[in-house]
Amino acid sequence: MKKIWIILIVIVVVILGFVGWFIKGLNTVVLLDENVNQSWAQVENQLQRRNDLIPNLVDTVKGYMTHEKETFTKITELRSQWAKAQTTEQKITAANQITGALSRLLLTVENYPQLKAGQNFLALQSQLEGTENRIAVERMRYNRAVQAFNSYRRTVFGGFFAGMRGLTKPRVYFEVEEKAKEVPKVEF
Amino acid sequence: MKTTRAALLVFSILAAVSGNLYAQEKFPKPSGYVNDFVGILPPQERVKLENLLSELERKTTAQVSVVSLETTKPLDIETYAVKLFENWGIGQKGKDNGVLLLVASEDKKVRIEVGYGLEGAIPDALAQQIIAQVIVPLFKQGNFPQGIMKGALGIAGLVAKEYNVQLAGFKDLPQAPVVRKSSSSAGILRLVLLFILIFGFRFGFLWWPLLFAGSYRRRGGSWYGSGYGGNSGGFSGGFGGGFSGGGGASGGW
Repeated sequence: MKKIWIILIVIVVVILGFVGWFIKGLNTVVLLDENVNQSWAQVENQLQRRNDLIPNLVDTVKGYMTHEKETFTKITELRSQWAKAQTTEQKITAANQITGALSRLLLTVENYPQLKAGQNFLALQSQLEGTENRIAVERMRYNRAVQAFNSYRRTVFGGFFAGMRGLTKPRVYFEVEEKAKEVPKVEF
Repeated sequence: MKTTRAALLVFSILAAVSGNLYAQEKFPKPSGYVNDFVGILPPQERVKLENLLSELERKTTAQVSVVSLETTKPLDIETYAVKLFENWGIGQKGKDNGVLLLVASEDKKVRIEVGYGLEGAIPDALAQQIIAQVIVPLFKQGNFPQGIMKGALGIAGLVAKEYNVQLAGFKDLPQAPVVRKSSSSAGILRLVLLFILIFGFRFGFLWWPLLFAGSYRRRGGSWYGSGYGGNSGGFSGGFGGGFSGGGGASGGW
């Protein structure tokens, strides 16, 4: 009789342990996924903040830079492209293009000394710099969250738990385009 | 028995793998609010600053940390500042009310990194002003202790204003910081007004305490003026777990 009880207790403990492990696995994958979502929201916040600065920048710069009409149209276009973007991939692409266009615009400012010295422009420039720095930070945190989720998905049981919660796809990293890092050529 | 051993093995491998995955840069451990790893500040100054920042936390819960290093390489100072901030967790958890003043002496770089919760009290433009008008000129003269002290006092003053408190610790310090003084700060107020006009109230009404600094401080005085003398509180082994998101400003000399 005593033996049966011991065996029963052992079985119950094992089952409880298994159920606990199972629930924890299911929860972990959801928490990691939610963490990615939250980090992405922060990235979007900062990208939006930059987009809100663009009309001001264009207004300030337009009067001086009469030869750069194309650049302005391009930036405005990209901005509406961002607004239309649905998926994370599309948004990342649009954001990277805006980064490239903005840095090109700021480089051509070098050709307009009057503009460069203006108070309005300087204030805008420092705001843009601050925003770019914030974007970089949130991008770093987002990528870290993505890494945590994706690598959990690839562990032995992680993929199983992710599948059970319908999170079958790895999340997308926010990679900066190599082109955006290059210093664009300034043509005279 | 066999299965438990196998399970243990799997778990230890998992633990080792995940440990490696999240391995990060190594950061020094904080020993107080002031972490002068280069040894720029004379001991008395360091103690005064430490006391002031300890008083600041006691009255506002905000944590201001001052750090000097030789270099932040291979990272740039902006990235290093964010990571150090996160690693130490400057500011209270959830409130994110921390500020880091980071000086890299060999790189000749300085950065003020502002926690999420204080971005209204210390917007980038004001952080920039503290660096460009207070810290960098003194650093250029080679007066590093004064540069750090005044920079830190400027930050502490802004934080104290945000919370409407008066710091007794300011009295012990030889010169009041430029940003805090309201009697001679007409120029700064004008600049602040200018920023408000330029930015079109971007930062919302958090600006207003700065404009009405005088009245707030008087009120602060009557609340807090007499009580605190000594420093019973102090750095209790670590910061609170706050975050920053790249707000603030950098400069070089």
